[in-house]
Amino acid sequence: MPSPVPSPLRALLDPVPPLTADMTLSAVTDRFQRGGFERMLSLAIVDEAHRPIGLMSRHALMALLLNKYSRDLYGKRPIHLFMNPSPIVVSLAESTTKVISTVTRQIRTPIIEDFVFVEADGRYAGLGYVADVLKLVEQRLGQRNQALAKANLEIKSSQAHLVQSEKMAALGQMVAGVAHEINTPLGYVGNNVQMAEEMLGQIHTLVEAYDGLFEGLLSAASNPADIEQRIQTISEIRQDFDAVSDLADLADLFSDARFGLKQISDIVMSLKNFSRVDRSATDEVDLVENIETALTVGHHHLKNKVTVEKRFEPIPRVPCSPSQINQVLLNIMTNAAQAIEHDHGRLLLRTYTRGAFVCISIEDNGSGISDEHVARIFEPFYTTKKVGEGTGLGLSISYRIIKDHGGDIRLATKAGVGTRFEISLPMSRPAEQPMNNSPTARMPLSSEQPVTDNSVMAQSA
Amino acid sequence: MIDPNVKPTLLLVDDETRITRSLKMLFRSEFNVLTTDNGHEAIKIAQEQPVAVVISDQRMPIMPGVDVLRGIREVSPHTMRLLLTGYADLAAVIGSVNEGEIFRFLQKPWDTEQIRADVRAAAHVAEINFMAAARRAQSGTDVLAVPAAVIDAPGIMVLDRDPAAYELVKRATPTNNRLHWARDMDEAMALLSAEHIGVMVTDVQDGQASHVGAIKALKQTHPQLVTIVLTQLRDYELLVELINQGQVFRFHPKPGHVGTFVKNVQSALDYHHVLQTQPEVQRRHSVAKSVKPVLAGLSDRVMGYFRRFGVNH
Repeated sequence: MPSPVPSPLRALLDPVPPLTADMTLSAVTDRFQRGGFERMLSLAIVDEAHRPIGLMSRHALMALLLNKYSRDLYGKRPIHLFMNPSPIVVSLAESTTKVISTVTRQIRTPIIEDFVFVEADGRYAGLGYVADVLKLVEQRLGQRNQALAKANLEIKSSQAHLVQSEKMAALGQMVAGVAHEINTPLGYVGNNVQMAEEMLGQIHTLVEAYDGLFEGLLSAASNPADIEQRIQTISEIRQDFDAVSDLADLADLFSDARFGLKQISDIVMSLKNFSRVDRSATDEVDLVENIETALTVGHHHLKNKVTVEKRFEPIPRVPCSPSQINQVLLNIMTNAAQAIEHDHGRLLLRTYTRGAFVCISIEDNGSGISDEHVARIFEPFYTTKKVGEGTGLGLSISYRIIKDHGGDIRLATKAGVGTRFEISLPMSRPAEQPMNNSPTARMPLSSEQPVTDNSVMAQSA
Repeated sequence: MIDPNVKPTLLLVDDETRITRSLKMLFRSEFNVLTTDNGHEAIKIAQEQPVAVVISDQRMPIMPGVDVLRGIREVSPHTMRLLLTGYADLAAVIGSVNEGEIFRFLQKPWDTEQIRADVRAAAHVAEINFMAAARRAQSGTDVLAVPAAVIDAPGIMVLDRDPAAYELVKRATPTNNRLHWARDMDEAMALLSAEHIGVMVTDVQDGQASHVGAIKALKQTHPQLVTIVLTQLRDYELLVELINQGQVFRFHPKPGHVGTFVKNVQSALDYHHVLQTQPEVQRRHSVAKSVKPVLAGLSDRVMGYFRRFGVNH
């Protein structure tokens, strides 16, 4: 006989002696009456090889005996005629999880029977109590809940971390772009100043020489050879340096330098506006300023790709957090520029009001977004970009920002024609609690999404 | 053909006209300066007339700088190519070396004295190259056509402890060329003085020790040595330094792709051959400064002029 398998299931096992198939109903009834296994609802019946072939429950026995004379009529008959021939049988060799699933799947209500444990070789081992299994299930659920709660906490913190990295990545990209924007004017401004300085030195030398000639002409002591020498000096300087035309160039150098400095200061100002810590989220903001700021900061991504067209209808100031709105605008504009793969790229920016909402529309003539992507476009981490080009968080964060403002982002798109995003923000701040405070942004319902809405595209195209 | 008595041509390519205007003003006394914002036009100019030096911006709408320089290299290989960029773009740096074979990598904002020195140096090299090419054309013998075997086949030296690097170079080394393996700088120096080494393949660092200084120094002591940098390092500033001061011929990522590496080694050997066979035209370029004749009797004329106005002394 093989040694019994060690198993945690043995804790559930009650090794109640089984009945044999040929025991009479009377003998079984006596066994139930004698007691000693009150906890059990049933007794197992085994064959000669000690394999379980059925289960006789207290409940079935009593139902049988409720009939008058049944003990007289059937008392001598073997029990296998009355048993449940297909009880729940589980092996001690199986995993606890498997046993739990077998038992709970086959359980019938009301619970009138126990289930049978067999050894690995199929021999009867004992009975198991269904209630014990249910307790085990509950215990396991508790553990699992704890693990889930912990995992949830971890996910939340890593999500916050990812959102932060996305911000840093976007910032890094922006800084690199802005550095280029600033380095170009710095290049010529620096060069022009240096040249102007050199030219000033030449002018100084020339003026000195002229002065010398002037003094010489006035002085009674100077002789013709002396004057000739001075004139010779001046004419040599004049060979290298044409004061009149060079001074005219100097004016150009300075005018370019001034232009460059203005450009640098505009960029720096935009950066300041872009990233400013909002004084309060209830600032009344002119969204057109935000659009201009986002355009300046994103200039680097846009300038070689698109011509920007602005059609701004007058809109009232709206309460919002300007730096967050800037982030959304920059994100959508850069996406738009990235979607354009031809050289006549166009970005149409519009502002208008609709009911109690102020709207910003950003429309490109890029490749459009296919239906399968549209459905998931606001999902976190959903991206069609290559690894390293985007985390897939940009639009989900944008969506969240606008929803938290009580507004909405919708899009209309058509493959090969372009995409239009519309951001709407309420003119007045909604009641104190934000409209959508759930940690994950709700996906827009399909009814809210005028997907491939040709009329919208046509109207603005 | 460049005439030494006229100013050499400098071509500026940038989509920001203030950049080209500023640089034009800086260089117009020494160079015949041409400007364009269009890469196609730049290549056309270099094809139609001898351009000694070209400076191109990298980020331009019509054609990126690396492509402009590659195109110019194809139509006018003796034109010295410089890339000027305001954006730390690693791909552009590597592309400018491997495809554009640039002379210098310049960054915006630039130092006025430095850019002057770089452009003068470039013009000097261009002049040598153009004159040598003209001489070859005149004598009717193409020195480049002399089979490499006639000259002693140059050796290739690996300066890298990494056996994988050695294996890669071994697979790329032609059978005629001997391969040497230097584990450190001392061994490399010994090999360089004992053997004829044409191409060096090196990492930029060996554990803690950096080879950057050595690469730069070796280019000065062994000007005919062609350097291929084989590295996994992706440091923008370092690569720029290696281009400008080490005249690195190729950057190859580690671990290397054998196919591309074989081509790189072959190009390096060809380039070494050019450096060896090129006639030593060492005449420094001097901008012809025409000395006007001394104005004789000038003072008499001036005095006469004043006298007519009754000014006496």
